[in-house]
Amino acid sequence: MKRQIFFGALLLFATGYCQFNNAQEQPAANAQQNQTAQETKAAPQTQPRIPPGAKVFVAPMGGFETPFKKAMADKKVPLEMVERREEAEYEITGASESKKASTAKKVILGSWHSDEDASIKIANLKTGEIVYAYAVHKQDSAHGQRSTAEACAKHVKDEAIAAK
Amino acid sequence: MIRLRRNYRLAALGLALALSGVAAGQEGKGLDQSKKAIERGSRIYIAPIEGGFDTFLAAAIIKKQVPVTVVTDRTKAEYEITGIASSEKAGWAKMLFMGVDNSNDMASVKVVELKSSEVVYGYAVKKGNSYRGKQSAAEACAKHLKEKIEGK
Repeated sequence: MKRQIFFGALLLFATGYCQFNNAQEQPAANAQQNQTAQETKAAPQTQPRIPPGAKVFVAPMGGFETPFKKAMADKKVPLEMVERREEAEYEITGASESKKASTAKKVILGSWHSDEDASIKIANLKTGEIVYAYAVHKQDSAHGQRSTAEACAKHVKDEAIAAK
Repeated sequence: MIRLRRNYRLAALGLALALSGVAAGQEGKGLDQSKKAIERGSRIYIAPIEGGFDTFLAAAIIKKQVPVTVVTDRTKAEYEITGIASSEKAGWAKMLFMGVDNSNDMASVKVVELKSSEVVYGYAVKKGNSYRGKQSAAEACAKHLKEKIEGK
């Protein structure tokens, strides 16, 4: 009996210690998880900026290009999207990954939302240089890929495009 | 009987330490066998990496202000970054005991000088409880690449 109590207490201690470590690693993380844990990271730019009205071609990104194009239009990003790569001055490529909530996540954490990762890069087609890149991770994304696409579009508008 | 109890206690202590080790779960390792430095402003090409990790790495290089120029054409580059990356979803046990669903991410990159085909730098990272998924692993790689270039 005593042994069982001892093991129980030890397991509780170990679990508590794990959570304490986790909290120390990401102090801001837990606070943000309570607010549906949505996180974006801005990328300070040292690279040359894109002139407004520049022609961009959005390359296929495994289906992510569709919400991204829509987000670019919704956020009124001052870039002209073209359908043919030859007509473009810049090319946007990227990758995206969507992790649906597992049964365990639904039952234990009570969350149905997916985790989303997306990353884009903009290359100058003349010079071949990457002029801007941005990555976003959304834990428990409320609107799935739409959220990450809008985050990318917003940061392109705010950080990648030169002021008029 | 007393010896048996002591063994149980030792085993339990080992279990607790192992669990705390898993929780800490972040480590990276750099390989710096070459004495050659990567010059500031070098043109670097990032080869496609599984799962689009190359794009995350490009974003991290810009975010961490690594003093290099990333190019899309390999022929215009002086260095090439190749690597592998993998991501593993949190299991039910992790969710139940730790109350988090952060993934485990691993990445490994190497920088090759294209002229000499010499590996000038390599770095591997494992994030046991990665809050931002691939982005965290990519940023760790970029940060250590920056340190290598700046000679820190």
